Amino acid sequence: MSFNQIIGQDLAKTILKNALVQQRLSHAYLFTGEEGLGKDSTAFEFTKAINCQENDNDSCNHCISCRKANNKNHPDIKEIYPDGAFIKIDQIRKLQQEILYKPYESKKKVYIIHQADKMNTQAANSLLKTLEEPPSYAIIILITNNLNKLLPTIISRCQLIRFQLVADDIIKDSLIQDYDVSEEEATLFTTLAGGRYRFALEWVENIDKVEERREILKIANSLKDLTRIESFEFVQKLLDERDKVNLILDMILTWYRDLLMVKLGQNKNLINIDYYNKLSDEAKEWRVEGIEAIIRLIEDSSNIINNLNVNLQLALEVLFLRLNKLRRKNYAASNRSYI
Amino acid sequence: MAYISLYRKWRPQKFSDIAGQQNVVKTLQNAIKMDRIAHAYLFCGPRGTGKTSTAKILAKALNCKEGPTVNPCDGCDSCDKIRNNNSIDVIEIDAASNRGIDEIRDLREKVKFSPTEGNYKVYIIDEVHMLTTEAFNALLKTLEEPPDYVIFILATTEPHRLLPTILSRCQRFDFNRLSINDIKDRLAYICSQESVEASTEVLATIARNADGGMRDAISILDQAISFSGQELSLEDVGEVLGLVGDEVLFELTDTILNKEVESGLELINSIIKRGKNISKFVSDLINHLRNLLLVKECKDITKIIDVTIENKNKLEEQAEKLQANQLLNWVNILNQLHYDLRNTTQPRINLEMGIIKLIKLDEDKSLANVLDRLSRLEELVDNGNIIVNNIDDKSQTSTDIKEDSLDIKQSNSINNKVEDKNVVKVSAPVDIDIDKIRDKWEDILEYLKSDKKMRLQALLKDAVPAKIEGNKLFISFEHEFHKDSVEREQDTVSTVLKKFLGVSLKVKCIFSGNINNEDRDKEQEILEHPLVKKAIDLFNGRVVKVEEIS
Repeated sequence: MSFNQIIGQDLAKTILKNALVQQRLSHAYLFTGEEGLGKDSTAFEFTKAINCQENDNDSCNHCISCRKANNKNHPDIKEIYPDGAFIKIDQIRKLQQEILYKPYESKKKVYIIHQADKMNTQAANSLLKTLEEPPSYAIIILITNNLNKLLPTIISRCQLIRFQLVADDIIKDSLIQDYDVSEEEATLFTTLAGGRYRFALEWVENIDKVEERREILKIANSLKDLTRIESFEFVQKLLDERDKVNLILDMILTWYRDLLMVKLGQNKNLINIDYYNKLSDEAKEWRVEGIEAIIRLIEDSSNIINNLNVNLQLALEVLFLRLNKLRRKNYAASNRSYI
Repeated sequence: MAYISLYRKWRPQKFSDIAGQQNVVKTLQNAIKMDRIAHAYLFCGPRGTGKTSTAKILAKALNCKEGPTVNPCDGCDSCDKIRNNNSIDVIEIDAASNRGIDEIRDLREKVKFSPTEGNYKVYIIDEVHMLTTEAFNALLKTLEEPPDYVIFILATTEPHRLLPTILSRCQRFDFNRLSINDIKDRLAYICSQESVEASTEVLATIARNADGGMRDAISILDQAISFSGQELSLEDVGEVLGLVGDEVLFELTDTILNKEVESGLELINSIIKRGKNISKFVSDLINHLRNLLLVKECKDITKIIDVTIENKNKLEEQAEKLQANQLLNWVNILNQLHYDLRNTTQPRINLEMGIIKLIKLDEDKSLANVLDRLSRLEELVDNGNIIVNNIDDKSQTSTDIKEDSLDIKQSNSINNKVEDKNVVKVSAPVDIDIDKIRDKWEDILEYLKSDKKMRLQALLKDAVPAKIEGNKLFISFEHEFHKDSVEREQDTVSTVLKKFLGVSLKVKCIFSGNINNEDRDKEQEILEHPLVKKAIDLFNGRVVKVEEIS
């Protein structure tokens, strides 16, 4: 792989390549952007390119440095991942110790810190001084998908490289050309991915996922008929697949978002385009405020589930009971208003 | 020499290099001049405002070979060593990494030794807020009475996390966020030194986006240079920062004002597709609305906000169309949105929801919104466009009189205020006859035609005023399409009716379809059937639809 094989991200690639050519490498980079945009692979390619012995602005993939990097045994490329839920101060202290030694064989010693927002307060603060003035041969790359969770003092010390959503056409073309996907499917996967290339690939590579989506949307569509007791049963089913809860909530969210769009007459920007008929049927029964309230409810609940230490079962049960209540309130109200 | 980041290369080396912070610099310089140097300083303030730099310059000033001096020479041995971080007498400690009590004990041991080269031993303890409680407490005694050759400089972004006993032992200096002009000047200086060409507009954009931090500003500059070489254009900087242009902000504000859901969502979609920085976009929009508010409320805004003449004119034009209260409400919603965006994994849905909420604000029943609409009404009344008046109070029944007299009093007071103005008098809904409306129907249509509302006239041509219920006028249409079209312009129709009949009526459009009179009679018959009446009574309901069963 080289820079060219990263789909989209022209801005990031231009800045990094220019920095390589002009030899203006900053000592600290911060890659930020949503999940699935290619931050990790770009960081890896960038590191390879920095130490590549043949090319100036890209990796060659056949010099010894690139080969070592590809086999993950380059002595001067270090990657740091969260240890458990956090990146801890001891990991950063270790970095501070190691960084003092000159690189073994290359020009630069590169540290990649994945999920930098997972650094706890102590770790983040202890990185500050090193991040500001590391030795001249060191480069630190931080990667995060939530910039707001980093200390402002960290952000201000790095060059911020912003990763953008990839244009739909680019994703679609790549799916058709590189993965031999039919036109129709490519369009669907592209809209589902919403500009995030890796997600589009997941749809292609994982046939089960398509089936799974059908299941989830069936549920989303049937939520409107769910009684209170059935919603408890539904939560029980969800609990059997804990790791998929986020995916399911996300999809239900996109369902209601689409409903809102249909309700407002915005049929062009739908995510679940293949479900248009079902959506427009259901949309008739809703009022705009009702859908808005549900979207907010789902958003809040998934925030709570992901960011706080809560009992998953209780959180989900509360979510679906409220959903049920909102549904009855708005469904009935909308019928009244039409009489 | 290997390339180093601009913000490290252009770290201030003299007191005069420090941008902004005049009060801090002046105090320190005077302290040196008058030989009143304290033994412990605390520098606090947001990131990139010059705390560590000032600390180092102070260390230089104290240890320079010219003795404590206001202008360190930056050329002597001691200054060189301090600049390169290898002076033995200036010890920079990263308190966030060395935060335990053991490190502080070690420091206390070493404090006893007098300086080897200079006059002072300077301890710069950076990120001091990360010390543990034990470490803080162990430091207290030393901090209060160190040997007379020792100076402590504590630097932190979060002074509220320090113990009060630490705070009271130090001279505290608060570093402020830098003003846009300060940043601009410094950037211009760096650009000229680095032979980079950048217009003031470009530098101002960078400065605005740095949010008061010099390091952020220089970082952005550095990145922009990497991106576009030695000549910086406004577009390139916007691209690097993921900014949305001013014209988009104006356009979106117009869209919200005109309540065009469709084009609003399209605009947002294009912003997302172009990979713009969403949270930055929302804060830019808030800022734009704030500018509009200031333009609306203040006479001369050039001193408060930093805009070009062209933009100022555009702002004034747009502000004309808006109410202050409306703007405040919008800003509230956007602030909430900005906050929500911090936590979400799907910023797109959040943004869409926010914009829909802004556009559909009028349908919102919340108190803030009602107040907003009330203030718009007040403005209308003040301008003398409308008067509410009860003419036919004689015809009211006696029970209503009490209430009405109150109404009259109020309406009279309004009356007095705007007596002379040319206004249409509007009476409360009273016994207006459907025939009267039918009589005037032709005139109304004629008026619409003359008022260039040809479309509405054409639509109403086939329609018949059906009946009046309370203050609702029912107009029946033969075609569904006509009905739907007029429904969208109900307000216009009621205004025109008000003009002609002097009565404020609500317009309800109904679809008569192909129901002929015979059918209608039959329907009436069925409705009056005793069985049906009984059923209605029993269930306390009403008839929705009468249908023939085939």
